[in-house]
Amino acid sequence: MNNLRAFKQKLSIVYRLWEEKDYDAALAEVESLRKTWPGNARLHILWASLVQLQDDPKHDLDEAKQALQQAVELDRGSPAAAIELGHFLDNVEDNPHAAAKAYADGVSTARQLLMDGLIGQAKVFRQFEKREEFLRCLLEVLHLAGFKTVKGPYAEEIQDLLSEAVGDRSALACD
Amino acid sequence: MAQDDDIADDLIPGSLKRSKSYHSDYGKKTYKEIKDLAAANPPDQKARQMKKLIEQTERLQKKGKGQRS
Repeated sequence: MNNLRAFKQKLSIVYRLWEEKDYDAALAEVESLRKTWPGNARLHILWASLVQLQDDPKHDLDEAKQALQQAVELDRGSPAAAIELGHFLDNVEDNPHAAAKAYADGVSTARQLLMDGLIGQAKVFRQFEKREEFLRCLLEVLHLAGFKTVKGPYAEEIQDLLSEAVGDRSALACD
Repeated sequence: MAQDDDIADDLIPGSLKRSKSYHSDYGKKTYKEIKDLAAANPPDQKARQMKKLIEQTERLQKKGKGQRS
């Protein structure tokens, strides 16, 4: 069995145990996975979540927080860890100020990721000549960009899509 | 899902009972009592923190559902 298949099978077991509320057994499975995949941010998040759900805790809440912080560092491109850290800081530590920072980081990353996906989707719809879907994606991108199409990492791509939508790029030179 | 008549201590796992936000003197209150105290004006600080712990537990429990591939 290859590594990826084994990983997915083990994860499936983790989620089955989670659904059955057998959090100790799910945690043991995640700990076994972490030995094989120590740099996997998702496993750090799962571990921290399961530690919080244990009735007979074997780990401190500080360890759960550290695991979430490590997950943030391990995968800066993913919003999941920062958002999970935000929940922990607000709900467990009652520290809404620190939580606000974590949520802001996570939401910003999620927004970038979503814009990237929507721009790609818009381009595909354009190739298929599905204008309505293309425009819907473009509108969502514009909304996420706060209708600021001149600056930002996707400015040029948004400008291209906009010019495609209205058929006249010169009409958009508004900065 | 937490019901209004559920007792806080039954809803919060042992691990989260180690949080500074857990208050054992509120452990026997129902979820509804805690929600009402948290929503009072001014809000009851202990109830507000206990409510957060209950909601965190519920959120984490749900995270495992429907994830199996």
